[in-house]
Amino acid sequence: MDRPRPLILATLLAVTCIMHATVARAEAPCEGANGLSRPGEGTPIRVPIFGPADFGTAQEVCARSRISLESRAALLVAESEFYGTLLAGLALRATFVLPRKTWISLWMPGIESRYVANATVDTTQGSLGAGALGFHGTFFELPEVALVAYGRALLPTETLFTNATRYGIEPGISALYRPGSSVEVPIGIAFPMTFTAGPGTVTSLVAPAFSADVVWRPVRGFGIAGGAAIRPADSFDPRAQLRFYPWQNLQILLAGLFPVAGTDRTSAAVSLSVGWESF
Amino acid sequence: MDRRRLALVASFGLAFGFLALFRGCAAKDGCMGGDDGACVPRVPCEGLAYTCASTSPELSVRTMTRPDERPPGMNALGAPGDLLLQNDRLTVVIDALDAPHFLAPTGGNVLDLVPRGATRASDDELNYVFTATGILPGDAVRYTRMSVDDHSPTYVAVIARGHLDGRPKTTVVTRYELRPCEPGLRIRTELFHGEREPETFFLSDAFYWGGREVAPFVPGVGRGFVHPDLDLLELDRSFADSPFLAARPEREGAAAYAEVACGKKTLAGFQSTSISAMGIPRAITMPGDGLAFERFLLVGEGPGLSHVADLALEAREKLHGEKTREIRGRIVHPSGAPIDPGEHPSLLVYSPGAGAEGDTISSRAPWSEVVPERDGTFHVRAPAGGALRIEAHALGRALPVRAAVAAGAADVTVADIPFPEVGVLDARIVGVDGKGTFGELVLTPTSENDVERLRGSTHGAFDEKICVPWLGPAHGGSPACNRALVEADGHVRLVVPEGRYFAYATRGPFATLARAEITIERGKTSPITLTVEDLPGLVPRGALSADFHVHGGASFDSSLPERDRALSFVAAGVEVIAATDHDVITTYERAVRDLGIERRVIVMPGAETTGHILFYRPPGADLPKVVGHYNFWPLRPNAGLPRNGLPWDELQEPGALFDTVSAGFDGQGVIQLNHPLSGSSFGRDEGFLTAIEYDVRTRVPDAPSAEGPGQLRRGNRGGRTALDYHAQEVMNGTQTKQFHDYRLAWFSFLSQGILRAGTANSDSHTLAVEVLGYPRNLVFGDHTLAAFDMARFNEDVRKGRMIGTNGPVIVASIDGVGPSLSPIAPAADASLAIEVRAAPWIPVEEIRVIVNGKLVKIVGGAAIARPQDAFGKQGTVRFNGKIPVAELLADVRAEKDAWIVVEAGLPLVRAADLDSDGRPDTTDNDGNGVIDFRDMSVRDGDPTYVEPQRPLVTDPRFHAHVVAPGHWATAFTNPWLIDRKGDGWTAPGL
Repeated sequence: MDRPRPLILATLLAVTCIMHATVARAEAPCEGANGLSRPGEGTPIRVPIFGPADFGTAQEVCARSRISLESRAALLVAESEFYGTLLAGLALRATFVLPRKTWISLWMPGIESRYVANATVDTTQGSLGAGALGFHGTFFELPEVALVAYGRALLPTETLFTNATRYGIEPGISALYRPGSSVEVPIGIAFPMTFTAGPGTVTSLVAPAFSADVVWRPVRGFGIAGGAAIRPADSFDPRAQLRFYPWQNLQILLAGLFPVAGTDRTSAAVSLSVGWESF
Repeated sequence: MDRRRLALVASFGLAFGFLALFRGCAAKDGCMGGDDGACVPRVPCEGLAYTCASTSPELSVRTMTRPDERPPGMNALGAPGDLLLQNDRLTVVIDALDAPHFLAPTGGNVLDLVPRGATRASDDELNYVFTATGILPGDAVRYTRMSVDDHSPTYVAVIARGHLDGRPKTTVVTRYELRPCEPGLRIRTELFHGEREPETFFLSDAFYWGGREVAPFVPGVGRGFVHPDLDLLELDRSFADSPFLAARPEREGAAAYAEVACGKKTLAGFQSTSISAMGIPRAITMPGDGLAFERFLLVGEGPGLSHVADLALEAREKLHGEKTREIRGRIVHPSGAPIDPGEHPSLLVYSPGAGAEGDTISSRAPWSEVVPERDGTFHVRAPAGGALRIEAHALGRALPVRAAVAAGAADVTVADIPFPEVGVLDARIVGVDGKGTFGELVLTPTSENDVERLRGSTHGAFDEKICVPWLGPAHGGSPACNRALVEADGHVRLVVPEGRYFAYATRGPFATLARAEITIERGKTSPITLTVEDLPGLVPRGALSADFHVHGGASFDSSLPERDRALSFVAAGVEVIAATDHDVITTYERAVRDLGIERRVIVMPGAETTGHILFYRPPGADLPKVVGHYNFWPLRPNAGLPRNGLPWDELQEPGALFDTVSAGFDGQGVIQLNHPLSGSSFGRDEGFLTAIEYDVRTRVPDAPSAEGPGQLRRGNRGGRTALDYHAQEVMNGTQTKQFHDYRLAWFSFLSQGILRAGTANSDSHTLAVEVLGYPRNLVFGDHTLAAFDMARFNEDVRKGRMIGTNGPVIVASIDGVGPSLSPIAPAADASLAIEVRAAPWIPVEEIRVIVNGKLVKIVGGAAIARPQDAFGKQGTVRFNGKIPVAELLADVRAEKDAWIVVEAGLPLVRAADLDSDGRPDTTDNDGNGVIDFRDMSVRDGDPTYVEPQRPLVTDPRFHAHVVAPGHWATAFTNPWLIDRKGDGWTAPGL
């Protein structure tokens, strides 16, 4: 079992420092093509299934207050090993804008239902999931590009563990490139690290994720996104999303993800987010 | 302090806070965080405490060094190298890591467990208890290290370390701990899930009962000895929680077992007479999490359940404070006559359900079962508090007698429980000289209307429909089911339910059958004498009858005592036996010697390899398989080695298996393919041809392949392929469907030039359900018991110089040459000379001649003699005639060679191949004379091939059916290979 390395601490320190660097003053991609902001800008495709809470999932780039109901489901079928899982979860998520383009994010511990089958020895269990608290800050902005750094901590509220507790931290960087009024390219790099503390021992897992999407929004009320994430050695995850903004700042986001290659055996995952954004 | 600095400090604080947590605020506790090689599971069952009466109690742990340290009983398998823990109350053997058994990939599990200081013989009746987390091979634990922790006189322990066989990062450490004066073994297993994905683990003990050995029992409404049908594909409906598990032995003199959870109040699991699994409830275990399972494994003496159930309740009282009380009483006959053990008295103690239906099986909650002592007294523990009832059982049936036990906490003595008077049959079997003789006595009711009334079981377990009347546990020693063995003095005394019966005396199909009609009345003894004599001239001189597939109590699925198994050899008139117990070499030497029957029977030590661990997975197969069963004999037994010298036979394809086991042959042995197209049991195919889905109409290619019939050509480094066996079962037991199937496979191979001797064996595991010697082989070659030459005998077996039969004897030759796998070139005017003989009570209706797989000639009707008196000695020759070989080969193209097989007995059961797999699968189930899809639909999901049922009393089949249930008179010869042109025999092809 690995213990936290000094490198991790140094990274944390660096991110913390960077978060407080002076932000370049310029027009920003989050303010819309004609200075008219719209809901959902700077939002990557999010299918939060690979980690507790939404660890390992790309974060937004634009400083906005949001509240959303996040639902997700993932299916794994490994027929040759007679193994399968089905995960479904529901959680509340919120971000709160602070001054100077910083914000706090909160993933509330939600309800999760898991079905895991090992041949015909199977069971379904409901549980409370983990929460996550994060601090995000824009540290670089140009008219077409914005960079955000963040640090998040896992709230150890999971009830599924019997004799262990899971903790975690996640530093990361999100970026937005807006080449045109109706196109944007969110990019994310995340380094989620989880630590499962059992009776006197700790098991750690580092699962970095790199993602890039292309979002096309021809009209205010609808957008479509496509992209992929890479989790080195775990999987390559092509993904797509439909985005609906039917009324004012209401947004409905429906995404699907289909991991290929790698050791992760997840067959498919979907997510549905219904939320409201204020800016 | 400004906000930036505040944020920085907060970040650092957060980071260091995590570190503090990580650095071990939690102390190292056992192995639930993983096995570092030094961790030790916590002490199991800390709430238990037993006091010792002795000031110097016995407690030890050691490695076995001598075979005589093995616990008593045929089931006991402990061998030098295994670990033996002992206190004054029990002995337990943990098998060595390199001596695995049954379903486990390694040792490190409980192999033998017997009580000590018992008042009665208490043989080991525990096949195996191993730790697992699911039903797949990868869910068993692969132990890699074992260490001994000797802290005597406080405790002794064995620590076994390993991981799940299919998940190397999921570590498992088990602590087996024994303390002085305790009636059980404390066990704690700690698992750490080190893999990446969540798993459902059912961390449990798997009790491999094997079938036919013990009846598992769990308290609970509608439970007791009754359990839902276990289907591994639909396990969910079988899971239930229980306060404890107990297991009742089927035979006298065997131990009983129980398990109680320590950490929790209940065990979760499922039951069947083949396998039970009890553990902590199924749970999703996340990566990095750990599980612990703590339990107390108890052993007590038999008979019945109460001794060990009392221990389980006592343990629960210590662990959970559940109060119990003792119920005492006595069963009596109204006349004052003593209780006869032959009544098999038994009392079931239960909590009644509500209302008028409270005594029904579905409403009541059994707690225990007690067998009264010889003087009728009994004592049994049950939970204190609620009202209880006691239901009396005798001869396998519930009596209309119940005793009520009022609610309360104090011990109670109930009023005498009246048991009805019993009837006794006092029988003698004598020879023609009037002297007692070995044999078997079989009873059956004279009226069909009495069948249900007299049917018995072990409280619903082991309910065999043929056990009418029920004289004893269906799978136990004599008397068992509806029969009893008779020793040399010819005398047997039986307690029999009142009624009218036919009593048959038999000594196998080559002797006369005697019958008397008797009436058994309560309180009276009915004497009879029956005379059985050999039928000289029935069996050709120089032929010995042999059964090459026989099981006894050493097999995991038989509880037949060694002595009774040996006695059955001579009672059935079988002269040569291959002892083929599952996965262990046996000899029956001691029993044969004790009975003084060395001159009557030769036992060749051998074994049946029985694949347990699924591994064989051809491309496209949904599930891994095993490679079926094979018999090997004669083998060199060695009690100083695991399995008495049989090598571990798992995870090997047939060719490699043949190499492994045949290294232990005593001389040049015989390898026999058993029940080649038999179905599967718990997902394990019992025949290799089933495993490879062999179609009897398809050719086996010359080259090996990973799928299809080419799998038969797959070899191994030693060079042997799956076809390198010597003999194949053509008849196994009495099921006609099996004969249809195995015969077709054998014909298919003969036609393709895959020449293997055909054998006929009983595969007997019990006295009654499969009767020894039905069928058997007659091996020709001038053999005698007095001058038995094993090597020459087995040479004749390998060369097919024999017939298989369950009664009819075929004496046939072409140009004076009997059947064999050696080709002959008969003269142009050669004839097939056939004489069919049979004891008068064995029906013969037709003789069939098969050429190259086609039926070319039937002799029947008036050409077959039918004796008038089934119980006489006359009329044993049923047919004597000749058929020109040229006539038989008339439809065979001149350039082709041929093979000829003769069959005799009853006509083949009419059946059709409606699913087009080359084998008949459906009988005329609607009785309209036509076999079509309507015969399938009337079965409504049940098997569409229906075996012949019990015939009417007037049917010529009746007598043989009573003696050997399911009997359908059949005999077959091995082939004559006809080399028509004298240029060497060439297979005729399919």
